[in-house]
Amino acid sequence: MINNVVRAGFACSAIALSISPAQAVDLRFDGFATFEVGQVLDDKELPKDLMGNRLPFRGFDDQINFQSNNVFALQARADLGGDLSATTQIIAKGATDYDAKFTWAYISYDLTPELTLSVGRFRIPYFIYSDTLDVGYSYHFIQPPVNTYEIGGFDATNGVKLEWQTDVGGWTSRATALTGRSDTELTLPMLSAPIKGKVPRLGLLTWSMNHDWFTARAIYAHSSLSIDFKEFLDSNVFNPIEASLAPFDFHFSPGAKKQVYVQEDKAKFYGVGFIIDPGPFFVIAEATTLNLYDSFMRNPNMGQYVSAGLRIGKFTPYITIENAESDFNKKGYQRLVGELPGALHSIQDQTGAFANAHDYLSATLRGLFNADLHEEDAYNLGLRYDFHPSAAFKIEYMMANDHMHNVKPSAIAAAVSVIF
Amino acid sequence: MKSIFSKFAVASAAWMIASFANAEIAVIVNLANQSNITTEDVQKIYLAKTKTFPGGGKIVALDQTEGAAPRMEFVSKIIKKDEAQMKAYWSRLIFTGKGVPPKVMASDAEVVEAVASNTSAIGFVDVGAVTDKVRVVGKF
Repeated sequence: MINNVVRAGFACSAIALSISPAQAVDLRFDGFATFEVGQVLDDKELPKDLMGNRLPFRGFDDQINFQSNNVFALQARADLGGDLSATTQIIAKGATDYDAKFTWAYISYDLTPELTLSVGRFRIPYFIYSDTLDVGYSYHFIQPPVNTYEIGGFDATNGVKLEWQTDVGGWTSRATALTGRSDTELTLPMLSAPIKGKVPRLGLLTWSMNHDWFTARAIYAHSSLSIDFKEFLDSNVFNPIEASLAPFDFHFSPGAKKQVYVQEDKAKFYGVGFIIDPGPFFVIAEATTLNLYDSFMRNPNMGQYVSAGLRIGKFTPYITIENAESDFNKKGYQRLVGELPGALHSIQDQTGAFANAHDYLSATLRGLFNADLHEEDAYNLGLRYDFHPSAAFKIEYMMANDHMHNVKPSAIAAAVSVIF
Repeated sequence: MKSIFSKFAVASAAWMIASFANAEIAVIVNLANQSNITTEDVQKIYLAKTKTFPGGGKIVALDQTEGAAPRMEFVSKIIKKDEAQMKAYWSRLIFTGKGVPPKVMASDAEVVEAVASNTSAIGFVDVGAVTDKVRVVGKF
């Protein structure tokens, strides 16, 4: 890693010569890679989606999988002198057939030794490990706790970032303010084609304080969110219900449907975390809440975990306990049910499962809101072995108690992470 | 005879371990740098928690090759981490743009030379390598 600094004199360019005297540019290349293999232990314990498809657990299914969580990345940083630098990070992931993507591409300028302004594309620092999510070498677990770290693909943004690092009475204070926009394509098992998601106005503040072995961190972010679910929801939910109620000439109001669609909905994100790391052992805990208003998606969405490990020479045994809880948009559900024709109360439910047709349709609508709910306890036991100065081997047993689907999926995974 | 020999071997091994543990490390800066630099400042500099000397002025921190004796001593005595932890820590800074690691020098002599010729430089060497061309801010 450190030996890869290349001092390159870009002095030949006629353009450079015409603008400024010949300059030496410090170019630095770094990289990281993770190769992971894993398998679910009992495929009958995998949760199913609305369409009955078995969903993977932590990226694994019942077939031994060598590819889905693999990562290979290269970073280039050019120090242009005068406190200006340009950085790009290109990541190729097994899950997307090693289609290389620019996760980071930004220009940074040190306004003062304490204040850095960056413009471009970077990771959104929602969580303690967000910034180095793909750098397996930088943390002990195989994957950062999924119940907390799952953010639906909205992990990078294009925008402006201001970082302020300063000393406050022996403590190191780090604050980050970020504003940007992210667009992403989401691939969901129940949808045949990827759909578009947009976070057009993201504002984010993080603050951390570190003293020796103790670090505390807090974050607040807000944005609006749009995900193109409208067509799917119309054809699978609203159109069939309205068609079945054709004799009443019934249509949900646009306002009620808006409570289901994910269209310019307000989103707020809060989180706190701490790290205790005196050396021989460490404890990390994080708790986050995402509030996504006025849609069928879960609100709030809460994730928390505690992870602890012992450092015994080159070995780091560790345990991570996770919990996820969520609730649904009750206001939206009540509004939809409130619009159903009252006469349905006195019509018999054809399926015989409910007291009347009104109850049947209410349950159908409730099913829609329930589909995104997530309640899970998870336990992970693992071992990291630093077998080489630049490489670590990890093995982890992961198990979860998925309360929404009433299944207990488990998996075994191993990984090798390197940096260079 | 055999027992005397084994006693000697044990004693000499103990002496080697003791002398290794006692290898003293000097943190050095340029003669023109009159900043009062504490152990905590050195930690902050090598963990990228500060970019300027306490008395002001930019820092050019110098490192030594991984596995080299002075570096192992420096990392364990002053940074209070082992080299693998140090590497994981730096990987978090490098791949998030929060820091560029100190420049790696090949030997104590190279560090002394670089510090002597750069007013912004700070480095660490075995005390035996210190010359009058650099200022020692601390011995550990």
